[in-house]
Amino acid sequence: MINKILIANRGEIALRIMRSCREMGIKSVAVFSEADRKSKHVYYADEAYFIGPSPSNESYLKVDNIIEAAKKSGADAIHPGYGFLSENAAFPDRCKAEGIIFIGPTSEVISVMGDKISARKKMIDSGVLVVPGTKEDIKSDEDALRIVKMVGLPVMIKASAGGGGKGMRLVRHEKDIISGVRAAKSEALAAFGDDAVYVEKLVENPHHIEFQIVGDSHGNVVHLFERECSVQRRHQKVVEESPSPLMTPELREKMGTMAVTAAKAVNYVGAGTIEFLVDDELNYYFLEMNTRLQVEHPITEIVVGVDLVKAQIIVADGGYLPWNQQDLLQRGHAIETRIYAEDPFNNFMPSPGIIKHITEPLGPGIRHDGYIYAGYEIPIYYDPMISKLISWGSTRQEAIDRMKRALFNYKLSGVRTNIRYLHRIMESEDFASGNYNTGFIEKNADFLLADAENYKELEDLVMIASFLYFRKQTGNNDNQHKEECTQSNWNNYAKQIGVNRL
Amino acid sequence: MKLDIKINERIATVEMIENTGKTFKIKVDDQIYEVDSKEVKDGVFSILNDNKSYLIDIISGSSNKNFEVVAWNKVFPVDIIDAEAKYLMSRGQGTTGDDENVISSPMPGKIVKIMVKKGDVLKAGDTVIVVSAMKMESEYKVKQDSTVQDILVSEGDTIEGHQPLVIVE
Repeated sequence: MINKILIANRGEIALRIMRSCREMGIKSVAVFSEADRKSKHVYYADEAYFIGPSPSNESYLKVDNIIEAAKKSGADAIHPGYGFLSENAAFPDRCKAEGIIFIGPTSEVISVMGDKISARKKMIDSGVLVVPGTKEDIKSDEDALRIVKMVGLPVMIKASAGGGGKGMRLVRHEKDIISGVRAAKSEALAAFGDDAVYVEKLVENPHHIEFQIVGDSHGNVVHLFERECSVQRRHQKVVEESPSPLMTPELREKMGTMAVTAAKAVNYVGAGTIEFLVDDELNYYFLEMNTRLQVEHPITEIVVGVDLVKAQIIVADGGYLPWNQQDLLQRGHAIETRIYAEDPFNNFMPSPGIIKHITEPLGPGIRHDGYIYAGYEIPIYYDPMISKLISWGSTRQEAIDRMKRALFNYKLSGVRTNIRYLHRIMESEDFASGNYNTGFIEKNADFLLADAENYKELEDLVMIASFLYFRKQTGNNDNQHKEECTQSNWNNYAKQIGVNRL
Repeated sequence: MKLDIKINERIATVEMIENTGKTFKIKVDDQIYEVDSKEVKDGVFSILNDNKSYLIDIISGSSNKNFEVVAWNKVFPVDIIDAEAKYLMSRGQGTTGDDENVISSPMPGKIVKIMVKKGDVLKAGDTVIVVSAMKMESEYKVKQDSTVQDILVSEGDTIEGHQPLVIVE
């Protein structure tokens, strides 16, 4: 029985998990690095433990420190969130050895699905469609030429241990095959300590569509439909939506069934995501499995009406899935935008700093998963994502309209953000029509960075505000003192009370 | 009171015409605005212009005469050009501290690598220093051929935004 959960993470996802814990009557335990003492997850939790210096490899990635905090606090379980230790194949075994429940899949599943070649093998053997290509490591130049010709140009050479675009090479011409393979191998070796690479046929400007699945330890697996994640910048998702505008009921049925097959192939327990590439002809291929809760899980929660974190906790505790496949339906449309502390108008330069003012957007159909507050300093050590804005509407159009409204109402200063950029995405014709793929950002680059309006009036008002501010600062402020005294009703009230007492 | 205010390339004259206690009549170049302005928090102004509502946020920059002003999530770099600033400008000194000989990073971060030593002769475009923030590394280069005069930080140091890192000449 889980009564207390340590959340081995920080930021918005730590808070997100603690919220579900609180609803379930489960105590939450935060861990924090030096830079994070004032982070909201620390004071939201029931208990908090210091785990080391600011760089994540000395704190949030230090298994020993996290286990020690779990033992000290008496936590029964650890939730890894996303990132950090969530896909570290050794961590679940370590938790087990220490008698702590790991909220996620087993070490074995993480290592099978984390290695691209072994995942491909497993999927091919289970009858899941993968991108045409090989399931073996390329060992020699002759191998490379033979295999690439067999698969057919253009191809992607990918590192088996890969991720985040590292150890990946696009090869379009025969003359580039050997150099491409060599470059991918050396990059893979440097980044992951493993030079195994394999070949995949290139799917040109695909859609990136993923299916949420959850499995329990009694052999049940359900899918919770799709998320469209094609708005990406340098392999980083920026906007996600559900349902996908590309999807048909037949395709959804087929892909959902395949996602469940993929999860069952590894006896998956917990929440996971099956990522697919889909081309314009609606051919779909298994890409990879993420063996954790995804950043974009809220859009599924909102459209399907579930709490995925609660489901994770229930199944980790040995319970049955709270739903059958036929209970699950999609209702309306949800969009998520990721708010980053970065400056899109200066080459997306990260922008850490102190939050001066924040007005969080609220109102119908809006959910905001964040962790920052006025006066909080965004540390330089971690990811620049500061929050996620999620909108829901009964139609896709309403979800877009609400997202635009919420972005407009989201006032954040002290650091640069991509809020205007996200608003431009919502305004773009390709997004509005739902007719876009992973080439979206590149295709719309100029539009997304352009100024939409004429700023003359706004600029004048900015000057006026600056003028008034400077005037106040320099004390050149004719009668402000007098103004304040005469205008305060509290002062008048106090005077009146004083008089009445006599 | 009258001030010259600069945003990007534009310099406008801003003048207080009247303070009625409830509204301000302020002239920006030739246009007169009558605005209801309240500072809802230090540096945060709610301005009603012709009943249109704006929230304008002033973030102090490197001196009390330059700000970054945020309105509708757009950032405006603002310089106040008062008599003192004009005097300094006439003597050929900038007001913004935008010194080509000082290499600095606009963002706080951590020094990953210093590529040069004191006395090194550099060509335009040479990388001087690498700063990392939020899992991203940025390289800072010299704009013209120069010599390294001084290095003010060490590898591993945590730095503030706009802090001088390397002096070249």
